[in-house]
Amino acid sequence: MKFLAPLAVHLLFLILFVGTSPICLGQTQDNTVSLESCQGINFEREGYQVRSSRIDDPFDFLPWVRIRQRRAAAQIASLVNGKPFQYSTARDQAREIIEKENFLPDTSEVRVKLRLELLSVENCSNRSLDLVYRVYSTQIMPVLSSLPETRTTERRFPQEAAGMNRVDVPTQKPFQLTPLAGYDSTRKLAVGARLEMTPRRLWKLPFNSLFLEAQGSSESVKVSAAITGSNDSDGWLAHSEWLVNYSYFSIPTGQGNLKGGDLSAQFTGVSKALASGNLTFRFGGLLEGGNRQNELVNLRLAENTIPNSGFVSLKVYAGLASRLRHNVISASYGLEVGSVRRSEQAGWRKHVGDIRHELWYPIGDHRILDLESRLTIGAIQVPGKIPLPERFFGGNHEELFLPGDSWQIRANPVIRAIPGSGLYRTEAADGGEKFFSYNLTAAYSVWRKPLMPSEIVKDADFNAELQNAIDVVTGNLQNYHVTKDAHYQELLKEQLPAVSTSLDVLKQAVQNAQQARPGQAENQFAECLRAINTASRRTRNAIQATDVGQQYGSVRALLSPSVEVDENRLAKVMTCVNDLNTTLAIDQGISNASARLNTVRENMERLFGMIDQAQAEHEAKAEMAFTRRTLNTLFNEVNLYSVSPVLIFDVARVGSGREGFGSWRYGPGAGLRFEIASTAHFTTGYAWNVKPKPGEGNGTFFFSLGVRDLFR
Amino acid sequence: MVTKKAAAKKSSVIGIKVRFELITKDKTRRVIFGLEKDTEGNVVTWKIDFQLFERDKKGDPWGEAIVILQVEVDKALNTKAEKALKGLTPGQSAHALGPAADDAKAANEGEIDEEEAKETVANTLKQK
Repeated sequence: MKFLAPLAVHLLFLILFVGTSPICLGQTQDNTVSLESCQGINFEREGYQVRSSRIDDPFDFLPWVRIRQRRAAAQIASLVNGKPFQYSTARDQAREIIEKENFLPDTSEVRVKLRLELLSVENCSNRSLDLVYRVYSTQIMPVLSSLPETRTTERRFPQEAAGMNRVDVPTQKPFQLTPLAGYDSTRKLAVGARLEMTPRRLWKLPFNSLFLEAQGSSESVKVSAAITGSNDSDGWLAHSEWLVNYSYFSIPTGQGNLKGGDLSAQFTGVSKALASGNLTFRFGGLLEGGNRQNELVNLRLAENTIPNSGFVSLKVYAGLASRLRHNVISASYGLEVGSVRRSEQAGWRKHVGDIRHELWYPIGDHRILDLESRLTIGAIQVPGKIPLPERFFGGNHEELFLPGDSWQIRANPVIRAIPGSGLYRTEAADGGEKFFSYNLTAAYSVWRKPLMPSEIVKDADFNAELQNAIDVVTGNLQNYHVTKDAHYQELLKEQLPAVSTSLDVLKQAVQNAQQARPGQAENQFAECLRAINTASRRTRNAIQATDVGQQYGSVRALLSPSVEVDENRLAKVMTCVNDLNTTLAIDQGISNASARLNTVRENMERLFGMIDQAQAEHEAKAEMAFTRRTLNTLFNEVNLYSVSPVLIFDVARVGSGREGFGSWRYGPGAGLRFEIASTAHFTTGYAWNVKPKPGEGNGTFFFSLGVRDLFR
Repeated sequence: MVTKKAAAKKSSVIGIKVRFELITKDKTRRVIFGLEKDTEGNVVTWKIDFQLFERDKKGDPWGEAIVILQVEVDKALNTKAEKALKGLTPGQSAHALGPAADDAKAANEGEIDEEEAKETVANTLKQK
C-alpha cells in the first residue's frame, strides 16, 4: 500500500497541469490575411504572374535536406519567379527538379517509406501569386517505435524517428560529435563528448557503428568505447543488436569515489509486434568481466562484502514494451549472477525490475503535457562475496544495467535531490542490498514551434493522405502474410507447375488445329494464342519470381480475384478456347487440353479461395500498429523547439537485507526544459532533499545538456 | 481578426503527388507508383508515374530505373484514381509489383508492345 503514495502524486500532477490548460486553450492568434480566393482559377489563362516561390520541408534543419532544399528552391526561383505563371514550368518542371533532388534518398533497410508533394498557390491578388512546394518524407522502423527509448528520441531528435538520419547521401557524414555537460553539487560541472562513427564498411566485421564517450569533472570520470552491429528481419526476431563495450568510471558519493572498469559483450533481440500489435518482447544476455574499487572514507563494510576486487558476471534480461496513442509503457527485468575473481561459486545474484511509463497529451495545439514516471526495484542475494561498488548506490547519478542507449534498464535508486551517488548508507553497512525508487517528471510546453506547420496538420486532406499511405504499406504486408498461408503454398507447389504444362499443351493443340484449318477463324485463333501467351507469361513470371510479393501478384492475375483488373487470365483462356472450339465444331485436341487446364484452374481457384485473408489482414495491421502511432505522433505532436516548466518528484529507499528497504527519502523539485529538435536539449532545476541525513545537503541544483552533432 | 476558415481559403492546392514505394521482401525489386493529381482551373487530370528498379542482391545500389512509364489516366478511371490517391489496396499493390512490373519489363525487352504495358500499369487502378 505504501507504494500507492507516489502514484497518488503522479495523479495530482496530472490534475494540476490539466487544470492550467484553459489558459493556453484560451489563447488566440491574429490571422489577418487577404481574403482573395485562389480557388477554381486557371492561372495561366488568366495571366497571373509568379511573385515568389519556396519549398517547405519540415526537416530542413538537417544540413543535407537544407542543401537540397536550397538548391532546388534556387532552380525553381530562376524558372518561375517574376515570370508569367505556366503550369508546364511551375508544376511539371519544378516537380522534376524536386524529384531529382530526392528528399528521401535510398536506404536498404527500411520498408515503410512514403513521400507526399503538394503544390499550392497563395496570396492570389493583383494577378500575382506565390508558389509553395511542400515535401513530406518519412521512413519508420516498425518495431523499434514501440520502445520508450524511441519516444525520447522522437521529442529530441524527430529526424531520427522519421528515419531522415538513415540515408545514404554524400553530405551525410559518417561521424557525429555530440558535446555533453551535466552538473550536481557533488559531481561538479562535468563536460565531455560522444563520438559516433558509422563507416560504410567496417572491414568485413558484423559491426556498423563505433562509439566513444568521455565525460569528466574535478570529481568524476566516465569513459566508454563500444562497437555495435544490428540487423532487422521480417521474422519473429524483428530486430537484433550486438555490442562489445569497454567502460571505466569514477563517480563521487560525497565521501569518496566508486571506481570500476569492465569489458562486456552483449546481445539483444526485439520480437515483432505481438498481441494484435500492442506488445513487443525484448530479451538478451551479457557477459562481463573487470574490476571494482572504492575510496570511501569511514567505510562500514558488510561481512559478505569485499572493498576492491576483480569480478566476472553474466546478465540475462527480458522485458515487454507497448505503445498506445499517447502512452509508452515498458517493464524490464534483469538478473546478474556475479563472482569475485578466483572464486568458483556464484558470489551474488542481483535482481532489478524497472517499469517506465510515459504519457504525453496535447492540450492545445502542440502544447504537450509530458508525464514520465519510473518505478525501479532491486535486490541482491549474496551467498558468497560481492565487491562493494556492486551493491546499490543511489542519488542523482543513474546507473544502467546494460551499456548502450537502445535499452535502458535502470539499476540503482535515483533521487535527484541527493547529488552524485550519495544515497548508500543503510543502518547496517554501506551500500544497499535492496532499493525502491519512483521518479516523476512532469513538463508542459508553454512556448513551442510545431515540426509540421499547423495549417498542414489541421488539413483534413493531408491527414487522410498520411493514413492512406500507411494503409498502402499495411496492404502490401497483408499480401506477404497471404503468401504464408498453407493453401497458397499448396497452390504453388502442386498447381503452378501443372498450369504451366497445361498451357503449353493447349497452345500446341490450338496451333495444330490452326495448321489443320488454314484460313479458317483466323482472328479467333490469334486472339486465343494471345490470351494463352499472356497467361503463360504470368505463369512463367510467377514460377521464376524471386520474391513472394511479386509472385503473389502474378498468381493472382491468373485467377478470378483479379477480374476487375481485366486479368483473370486462365478464365479468359478458357472462354476464348471454348468459343473457338465451338466455331471449329469441336477439335478433340483442343477439347482434351482445355479440359486439363480447366481442372488445374478449378483446383487453383479452390485453394486460393481457402486462403485466410482476414488473418493476413489482422497480422499486417498488428505489425503496423506501432508505426501508425509513431507517425501520428511525429506529424501531429512533435515540436521543432519547446520550452517547458518541469516539476519533479522523487521517492527512494535503500536498505540492507535485514532492515528491508530502509527509510523513505523524498525529493520534490522544479526546473525548466529547453529542447531544440536536432540541436540541443537542456534541463535544469533544483531538487530539495526533504529531511536530509547527517552529511547530506538540503538539496542540489542540477542540469544536463546534450548538443547535437558539432560536425553538422 | 479573421477566422482560420477564411485564412485557409487564400491558398489552393493545384498539384498533389503521392509516391508509394513498394519494395519486395527480398529487397531486390522496387516499384515506385506515383499518382499525380493536377488541377488547372476546374479541370482535373491524373497521371501515373511508374518506375521499376531491380538489383541482384540486397545491399547493391538500386541504380537507374530499368523501366519508367508515364501513364495518362483515362477519364473513366478518374473515380478509381481519386480512390487510389487515398492509397493502393492490397490487390493494387500486388498488381503493381507483379503483372504491371513484369509487363513494363517485358515491353522494355521488346517482348510486348509498350501500349500493352501501359494498359497493364493503368489497370492497377481498376483493382479492388
